Amino acid sequence: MIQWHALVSGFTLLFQDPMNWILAFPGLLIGLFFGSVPGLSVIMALAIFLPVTFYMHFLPAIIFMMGMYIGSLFGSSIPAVLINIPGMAGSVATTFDGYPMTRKGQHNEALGLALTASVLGSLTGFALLLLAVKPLGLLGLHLGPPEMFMVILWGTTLIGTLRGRNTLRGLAAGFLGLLVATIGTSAMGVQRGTLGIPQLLDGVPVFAAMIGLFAAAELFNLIGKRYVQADSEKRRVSMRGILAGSVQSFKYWPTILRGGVIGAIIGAIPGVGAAVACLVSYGEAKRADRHPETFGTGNPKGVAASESANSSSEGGAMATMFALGLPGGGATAVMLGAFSLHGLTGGPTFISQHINWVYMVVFGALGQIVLLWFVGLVYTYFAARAVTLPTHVLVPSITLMALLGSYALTSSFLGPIVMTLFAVLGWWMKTYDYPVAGAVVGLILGKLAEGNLLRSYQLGGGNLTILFTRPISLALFLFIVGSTVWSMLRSRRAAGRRDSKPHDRTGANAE
Amino acid sequence: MTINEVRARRRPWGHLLFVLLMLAFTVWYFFSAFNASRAASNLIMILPVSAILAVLEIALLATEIRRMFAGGPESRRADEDTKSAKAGERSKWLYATSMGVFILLIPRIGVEASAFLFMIGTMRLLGSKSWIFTIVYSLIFALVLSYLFVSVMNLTLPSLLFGQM
Repeated sequence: MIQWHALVSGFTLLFQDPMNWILAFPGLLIGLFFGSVPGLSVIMALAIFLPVTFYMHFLPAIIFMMGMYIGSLFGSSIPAVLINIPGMAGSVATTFDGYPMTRKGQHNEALGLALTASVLGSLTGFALLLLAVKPLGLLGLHLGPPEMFMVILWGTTLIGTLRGRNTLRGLAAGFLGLLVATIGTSAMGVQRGTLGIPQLLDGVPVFAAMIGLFAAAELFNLIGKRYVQADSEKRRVSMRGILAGSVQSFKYWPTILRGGVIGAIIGAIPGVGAAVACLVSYGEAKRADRHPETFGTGNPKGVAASESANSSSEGGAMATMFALGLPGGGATAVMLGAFSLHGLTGGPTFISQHINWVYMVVFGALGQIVLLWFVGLVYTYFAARAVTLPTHVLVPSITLMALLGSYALTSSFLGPIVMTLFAVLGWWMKTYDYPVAGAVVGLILGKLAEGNLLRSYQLGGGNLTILFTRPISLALFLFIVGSTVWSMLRSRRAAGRRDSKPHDRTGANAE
Repeated sequence: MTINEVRARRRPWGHLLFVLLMLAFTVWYFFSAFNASRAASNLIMILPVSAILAVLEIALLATEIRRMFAGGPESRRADEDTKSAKAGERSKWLYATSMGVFILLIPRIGVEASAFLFMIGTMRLLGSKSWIFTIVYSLIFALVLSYLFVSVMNLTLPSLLFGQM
């Protein structure tokens, strides 16, 4: 497992010159900024600032880039909590309970909770990376398309739990999202629903569509209101509240630990990433809770589950990157490119010869995660002031940033057009009581699900029984079925108890 | 009862139309994919998802039609929707339209001017009272954002000041 000599060597390398750490602060701040503006992403930040690192020594360059990477993980939860728009897809589940907390006037606590859950989740992910870089990285090799499909199916079951008050409408929203996600060229090169528009060959840009749906769900809802939170007392920004939220997060350590482990494992699967991790963790937290009905109404555990998983998933992704030389997603792809420019590549040979470098990066990350807590507190304190802005300033500013951000994501007008169209769709959905979150989950997971289902089909020689004949895949399937049935039975029992309570009272009164 | 529920009940036709549009999209998309290729590899996900979605949409249609014919006090009560809700709806339409206009204007007048006009229009629409504040804030915000996206991030957006038209 751990090679102690290499560990000490990595640690010594990292702290041989404390000046190397100066760049951690700008790195974290840039990451926080790019993560917290809807439409901007850590990939853009890394791409923009990569040339700057050409003039740096190896170590400060790595610390600077890791700072951006780590800062962005938490940054994306800030708009998710404050305005119901996730900065990146990985924070989508943070909106489910983070924003309801803001509407209750608990935005300070929600942000503090998100920050500490994110820090603890990241620590879990990177600690697992430190302890088991090889096994965690090699996990990716043992998980083929059938297992990946099952993991995605696990995330998809969240559609059922996000159904809102009307099951039919909730399921319709989720399945609509799944269907829209398949638009574009299939893995076999067949064009579906592209209407001859070349930009749609790659499919509907998911992030632009997601911002549109969420923007409509909330920004449009703010039209006609003066502030996000009407009560001036409740929209006050207080460091004490943020700290209280941070302390509160320790109460939810089982949720955070579970989220951290789920995130690290899912993050280690190439191409799955933070969005699936946060959705699965959120779904499991809801299923495991004694009061699942409180999720979606501002339950702090929902924020803790989502934030711990999305942050720890990056530790898992780094494990795959180092162990196999494979990037787990877009951000790790840019990181791998950037690292390789400085001579730090991945793969089994690299890991056996330079494990001390891996330990150095992991120690660097752990140090920056602790720094993130302090930098994040200050950043959050100022970012939370967004709720004190009147809507006639907040809503147009966020919309403009998101429109330009969606252009940046697609490098064409398709992004802003899709965002606007999905804003109208989301507004209709909201008007007729369809849960927008369900559609977003479908959109995020649809393409991944189709790709892995198709690969499983091909791997099985034109047969899908392969999904149930491989041990890990079958175990995952049984787990999904078991946990879904268990949660359904439990909520039915809880509903039964709720129904019987007034009856009992009536009985008591009669007596 | 929430404002959305009131609105949804006030206009059952609106929901009916929404479900019909979803159903039309589902059917069209399925046949678009089916005509492109009938291979199992193409329809492996689209067929089951669109079939389930179509069933859900038909069930929603049936529920809505049944509710329309049932009528009753709920639908009558819903007619008492307030004028403010209608005004809010108009503002939302105008807001969505202004997003579309902003996109259309960028290639013609550049991102800075389009962003400036978008900010002024939407800030006034959302109730900004002071013209001076609206103009100054819109100008600064549009310029800073355009600079960030065009010059710092090197986006190929039509720009009057920071790039090329």
